[in-house]
Amino acid sequence: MLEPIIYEGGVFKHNLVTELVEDLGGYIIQTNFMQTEVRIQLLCPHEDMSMLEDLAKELRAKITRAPLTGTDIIVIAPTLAYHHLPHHACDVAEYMRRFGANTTLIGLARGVGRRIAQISAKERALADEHDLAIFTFGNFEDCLTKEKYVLYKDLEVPSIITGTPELIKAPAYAKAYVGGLGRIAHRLKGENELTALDKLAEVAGECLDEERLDIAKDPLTIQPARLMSEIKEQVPAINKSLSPAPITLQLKGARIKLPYREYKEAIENMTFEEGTTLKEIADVLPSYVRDYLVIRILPKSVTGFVM
Amino acid sequence: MEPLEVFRVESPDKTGAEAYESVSRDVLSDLELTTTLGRLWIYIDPAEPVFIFCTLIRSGLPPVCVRDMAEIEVGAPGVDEVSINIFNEEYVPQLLSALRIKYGRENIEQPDRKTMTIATKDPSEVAKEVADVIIADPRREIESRLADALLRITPEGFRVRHHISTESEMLFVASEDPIKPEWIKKAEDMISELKED
Repeated sequence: MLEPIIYEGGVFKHNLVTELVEDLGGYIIQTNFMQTEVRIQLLCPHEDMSMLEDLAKELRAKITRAPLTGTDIIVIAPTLAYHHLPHHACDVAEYMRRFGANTTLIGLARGVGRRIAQISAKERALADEHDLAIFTFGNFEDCLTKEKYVLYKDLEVPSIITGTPELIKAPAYAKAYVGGLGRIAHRLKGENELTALDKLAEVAGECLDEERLDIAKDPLTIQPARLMSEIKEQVPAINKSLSPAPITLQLKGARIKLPYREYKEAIENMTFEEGTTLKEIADVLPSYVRDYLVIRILPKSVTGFVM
Repeated sequence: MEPLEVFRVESPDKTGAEAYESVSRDVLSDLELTTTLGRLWIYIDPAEPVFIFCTLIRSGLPPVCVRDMAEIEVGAPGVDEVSINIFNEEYVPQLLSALRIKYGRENIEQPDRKTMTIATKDPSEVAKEVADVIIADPRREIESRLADALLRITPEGFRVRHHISTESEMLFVASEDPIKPEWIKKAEDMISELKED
């Protein structure tokens, strides 16, 4: 089993970490340089964790478990209107990133209000492209429980709702609810607000673990992390992408930040050492995010084998 | 009236009201309106749905005229100009643009930082008239900031709006449905009660 980890330390000798993880059969997901500091998101085999811990200690670096690593979360606010800045949804998205998730933040075109709230088919399809949707709603229980469900009831991905009141059970159609995170007109830095954010990260982790268990019942033909390292080797154009995460890992695949029309064929024809091509084990689809590609890995029940 | 001596946020949903109080305080302090408003009463009922905002505005600063920031002198006999000697530089850009609009760009000169001259054939008449020209109105600025605050505080979906605004009070009702007369009546009762307090 691969353990999701965030490594934070100096740039000096950080390549030793990269090499160690690759030698152990783990994967480097993302590396961010911040002047003399480096932050690496990685997956390390559970049984070899002590080696990574020893190396981190030697390099005076910090390693923490990041349960959301390798997941793609969409944070949806009913509006991102400029006169409501700062939006607490921004802090929510940023906080999820600290636990390793890749987050997308959107404001709905017509998500505001009660009776008038609605979500478009395009927005819904965009949300369904992610692993988990977090809806950041407002202050009133009446709105949360009786009106706003129209925004997430038809989503295929699980939805976590946030709002001000503490509800005993999650509103209808929602997977979970986290209170204390309603409409707040300042940056989230109060003790209660940070506790609520921690709670949200924990709930998101639990939801994603449930999803992982579901996937484990019918495992994917190839692990998304392995798919990522193969793409890095076989499609050199990905290394020229300026995005901080050119390949965004998801539970059931990945989003590749390359133009769909130009690279669909190259990606589909990637060959693995087992002799199969990617198009035999996955669907390559256009993403709803810009003109990117989305890869949906097929499960064992469809392909008949696991690599 | 003391700044925000009455600050009430009411709603059938107590938790929601507390959260809304925090939102209102944040917005008012962001827009530096806390010392401008005397009494404030917000009522929100999401089930109706209605949002009512009533406030009494504290008497603020009077408009700033040219005589409040400068001494006006008629030039020496035979010189067709009025000289404005500025002693408060806070509103100089506004003064310059007001004079240019009133007397024409070609007639206004600023020989040094604290002096402006108006070229005119009738210096004594212009000297009298220019003293009362209004340069800035802090009151209007407050009104625009208050309107901004209302837009920020009101729930985003409540786009049907009704407001009555005078120099000393502001009454605002918003909803996503057509405004009902009883909501306006309630708002009027609220503002009367605020005045009585």
